[in-house]
Amino acid sequence: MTTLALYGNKGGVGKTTAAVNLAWLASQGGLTTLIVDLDPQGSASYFFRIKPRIRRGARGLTKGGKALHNSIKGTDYPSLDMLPADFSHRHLQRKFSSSKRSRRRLARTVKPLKREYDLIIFDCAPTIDLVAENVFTAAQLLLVPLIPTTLSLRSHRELLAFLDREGYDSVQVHGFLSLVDERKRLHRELAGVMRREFGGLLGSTIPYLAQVEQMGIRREPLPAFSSRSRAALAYRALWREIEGLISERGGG
Amino acid sequence: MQTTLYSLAGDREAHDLVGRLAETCERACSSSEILTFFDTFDWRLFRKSLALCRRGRELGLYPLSALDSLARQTVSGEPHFAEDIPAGDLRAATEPIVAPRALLMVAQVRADRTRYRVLNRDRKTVLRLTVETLTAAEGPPAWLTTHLWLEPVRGYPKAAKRLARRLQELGLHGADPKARYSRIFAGAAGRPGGYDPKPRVSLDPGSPAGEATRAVLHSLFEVMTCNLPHILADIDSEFLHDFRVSIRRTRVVLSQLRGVFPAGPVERFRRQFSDLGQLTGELRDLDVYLLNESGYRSLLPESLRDDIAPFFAHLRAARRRALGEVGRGLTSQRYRDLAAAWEAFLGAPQDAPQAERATEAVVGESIIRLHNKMQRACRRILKRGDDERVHALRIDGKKLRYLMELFASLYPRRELNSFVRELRGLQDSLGSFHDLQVQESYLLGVAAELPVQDGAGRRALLAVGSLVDRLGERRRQVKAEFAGPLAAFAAPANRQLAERLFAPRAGITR
Repeated sequence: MTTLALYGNKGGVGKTTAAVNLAWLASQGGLTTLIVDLDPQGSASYFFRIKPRIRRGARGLTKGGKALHNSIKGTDYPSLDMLPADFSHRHLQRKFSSSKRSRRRLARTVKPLKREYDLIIFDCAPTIDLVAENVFTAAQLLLVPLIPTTLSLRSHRELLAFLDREGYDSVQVHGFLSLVDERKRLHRELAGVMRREFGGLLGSTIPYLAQVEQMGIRREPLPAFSSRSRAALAYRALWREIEGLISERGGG
Repeated sequence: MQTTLYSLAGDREAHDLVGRLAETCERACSSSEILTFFDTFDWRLFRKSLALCRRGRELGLYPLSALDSLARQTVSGEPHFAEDIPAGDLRAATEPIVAPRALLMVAQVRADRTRYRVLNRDRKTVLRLTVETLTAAEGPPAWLTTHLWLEPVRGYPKAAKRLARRLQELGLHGADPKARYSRIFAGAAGRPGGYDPKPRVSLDPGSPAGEATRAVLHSLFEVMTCNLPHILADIDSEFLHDFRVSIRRTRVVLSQLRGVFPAGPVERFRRQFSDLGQLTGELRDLDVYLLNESGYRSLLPESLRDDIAPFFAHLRAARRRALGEVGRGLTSQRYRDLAAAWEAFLGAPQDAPQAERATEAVVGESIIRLHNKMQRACRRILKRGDDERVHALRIDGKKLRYLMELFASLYPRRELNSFVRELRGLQDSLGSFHDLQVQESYLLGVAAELPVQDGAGRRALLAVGSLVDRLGERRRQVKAEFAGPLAAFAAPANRQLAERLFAPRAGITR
């Protein structure tokens, strides 16, 4: 089983749309996939028309076992399930911090799902908190969408410094350029800067396109309703690159 | 909740029914495709409640009770063996069940399916319904079945329960998924699960031994007869194997159940079946070596793994010759005469001293006799330990096992099983010791025939030498572990168990 997280300590960078589309592409490619919505806003759940409600509040995630199992919902697509967001995820922090070895909680919680799923995708909230730190231990691959702006550049530097400082060396970090507007000179320039500065940056780029916003209206993964569109092709290219990373790791 | 299916009278009724279900139902898609099913000759997949099915270029392994596959894989062409399936989940799930048997096409049907989605207020799918009609793929489109499949979506059990209740109100009840398959396989050669290489004949303990023995031998002859054409067609190695096991079992019955048949014919048939065993022996040996090719390679150091190729090429050539010989032998007048004479012999009651005694008495005596002999041998080997005795003990173990299996219906199953377990422990270690011994000498024999004119030939020879060395090492290991199973088998408790099980019935008092 491979665990992959979409993360960024900055909001509105295309994290959830990437998580939803990648999860769909993975499941269509034959991987039994679970998408875990860790964002209290529940956007990923919204895209799949799943009510963001976990039975018995946050206990499901921290205690694992049966409660977790019962909370998993099938999406409208074969081989793609979801652990929906819950507003009580806000309380996860408190729950996590009250248990021992709290940074490994999430990793231990999803471990029993290993037999059931080939791939688990975490869609995270844009914060560096205890939930995020649990993600850094539970995920093997950390994908960070980067908009070519100075703020995004700065926050990615901060994230890398944080991971280094705190010793999260098991997670493999890869940024990818997101919401890129090729018409903007600044975008082109900053994209170049990012490519030079960040070694693990993936080659694929997600362009800024109105099609992506259609997802919110359709409440479906983009390649499911517009498979040949430019945006869908961009996500496909990104997924192919990630598939390569997974097989390099010997997972999948 | 699991997938359930409902049997319906026809296509139209099914779609009417979906319309009458008080749910927000949306027609998702329709498909019409040819399903081609594969299984082994002895229905190994079906026996495990699985079906291997090809739809277009996709091959999938399905639980009998579901529409979704456990594993699937794009394939080009027909798979003849599980090892032809590209490496992946599908092969990993299929190979351990079917290997080394070939996959045969067992049925082909046309499936017309219409899928519906049941939606909730958010228009989220909470349940899937599929109307499926199967018709014969060849000839006039004969209707086979129509089913409604109800597939719950994970996390939405209420919707599935509600619909199941609704269907019940309409007078429909869940159908057996196996019944659907028996319709699919209705045209297949042989009933699913019909062939059993180890036929179980149900016997009455008090019936005359002659009659019961003829029934058992007849079932073995049937196994031989139904495997024969497939041996000649060279489909997989198991046809010959089952054929040979039946010969061995036949010979054991003839030699061990003394006095059940007149001595003259028994002597003649024993000799003829022994010849048949010899005729087919070389081909079987070669099959075994070739089936284990990758196992042998893995025993070698990596540097020698490719060098052994000429050795296996040599075996493959020898196998082609052996197959030709077996083919000639089994299609000869001599074999036809034997088959006709044997069938005639089994068809008529024979006059012999033990023929009228109760079956359980005759069989029980034979089992006890063999068992005592084996226990004596065990004790002797434990004391002195020579390899010739080990070989004889192994043969007797096989005889004992065959007798118990063939006449299993005479004995309480549970007790017999625990007895067989004890025997199996002994046989496993004796068997691997013997196999290793035979392999070593066989490899040395073949090595002597290998052409060694060039470097490749010499390297092959070196590889074979290294292999023999590894096998010898293993054999010594196995021998060192002999004592445990031998002592367990020779234990007084085991004797008591045998006597409790077989002696009273044989009328023996001690």
